[in-house]
Amino acid sequence: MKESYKINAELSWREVDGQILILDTIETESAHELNPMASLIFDLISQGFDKSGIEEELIQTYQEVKPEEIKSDLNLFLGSLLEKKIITPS
Amino acid sequence: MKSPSVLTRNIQAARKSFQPLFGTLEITQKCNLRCKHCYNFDRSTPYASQNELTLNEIYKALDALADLGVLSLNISGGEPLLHPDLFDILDYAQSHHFHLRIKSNGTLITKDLAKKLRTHGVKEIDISLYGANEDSYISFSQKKGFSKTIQSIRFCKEAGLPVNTSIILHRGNYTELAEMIRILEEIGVQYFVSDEITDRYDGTEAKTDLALQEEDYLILLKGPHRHFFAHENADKNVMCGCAKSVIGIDAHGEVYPCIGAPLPCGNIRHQELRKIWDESPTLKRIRALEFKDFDECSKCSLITKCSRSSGSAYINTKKYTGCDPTALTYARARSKSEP
Repeated sequence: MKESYKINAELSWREVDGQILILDTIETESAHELNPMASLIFDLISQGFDKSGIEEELIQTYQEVKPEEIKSDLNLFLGSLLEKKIITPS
Repeated sequence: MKSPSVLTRNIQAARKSFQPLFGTLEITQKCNLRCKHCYNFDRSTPYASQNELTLNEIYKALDALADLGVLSLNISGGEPLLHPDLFDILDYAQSHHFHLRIKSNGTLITKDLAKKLRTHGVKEIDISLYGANEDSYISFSQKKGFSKTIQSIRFCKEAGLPVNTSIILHRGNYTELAEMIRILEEIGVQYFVSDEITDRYDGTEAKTDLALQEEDYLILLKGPHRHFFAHENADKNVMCGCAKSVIGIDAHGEVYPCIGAPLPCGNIRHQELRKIWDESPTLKRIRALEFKDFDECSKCSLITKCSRSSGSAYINTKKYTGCDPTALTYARARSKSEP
């Protein structure tokens, strides 16, 4: 089964200096800044990529990193986004 | 040293790389009030009342603003709630993930409208408050509006729409400040005080005689809300985010370094916004300004008490780097009120 996500509709975001800045003024009144790899993942989610699609893109982009490491980091990051309600399963 | 917050750090980065993180788009010049202090173009002139951006042009402007990197977008006017296609505009803007704000006089918001604004992606609403009673509204805005505005603020709060109330302070209403604050605190919304009154953009009418005078300011500086007026500028800062992290587009497509600094830089009807932002000589000139270029301010002994805004200086004196007489009056009062 495909694991897909959607971004919380309450959030606003934009890329600043190569990193994504996310604002949540309605629910948590917080701002989040994503590093370049996290920004790429967030961008792929916003484009509708599912988890396996994101993995493939990351493996292609970061060829110097072991695929297992990428998968593990991706799991951790998605878990953190879910916990902060930045994304929800779709 | 405390490290800057995520937001501050990103604003600094945007300012350095000339990414307009903050944008304002006027969608109409039409307004149901005729406030005496209004800086905007005289609505009885053909320029103000005709040839406003079409819906498609507004969509293109939103595309271009997102492409430039605008995150916080203020939908302004005139009174933006009067635009017949407002909700189509909001939906389109929402698809670009802006932090969407609306600037309104607050007299037209019903309970249903407040909910609708919230569900159409508005993240914050800025509402102006012109006095603490209907008499004040009638003398200043030429119409009743106090009760409607207070009701609107309540409706927005109930709908879960964060409200920022801007208390517009001038000679005629500054004695009502405490009452305005009392009302807003009772409702439980954020507020700030705006004491900046400028002439009209088109120079048709001088408005600065409405601005607080030194004696008014001295009274406010001794009052219980003095923190709104006791500005310190120890760093002698004379520059702002204009043309760097800020951009404005008026209802006719004119691009400005900030909506509060109406120096024409190009029109989106004739040029791509990106080209205007990257190549306008006016924008480039503003970005290159240094402290020494503000010749009067850099030599002024009151600069550490001054809250000058280049936009206001430009509107009131036609000199962007000049001294704004109203800001100077306030700085002088601050200096005199020190123990």
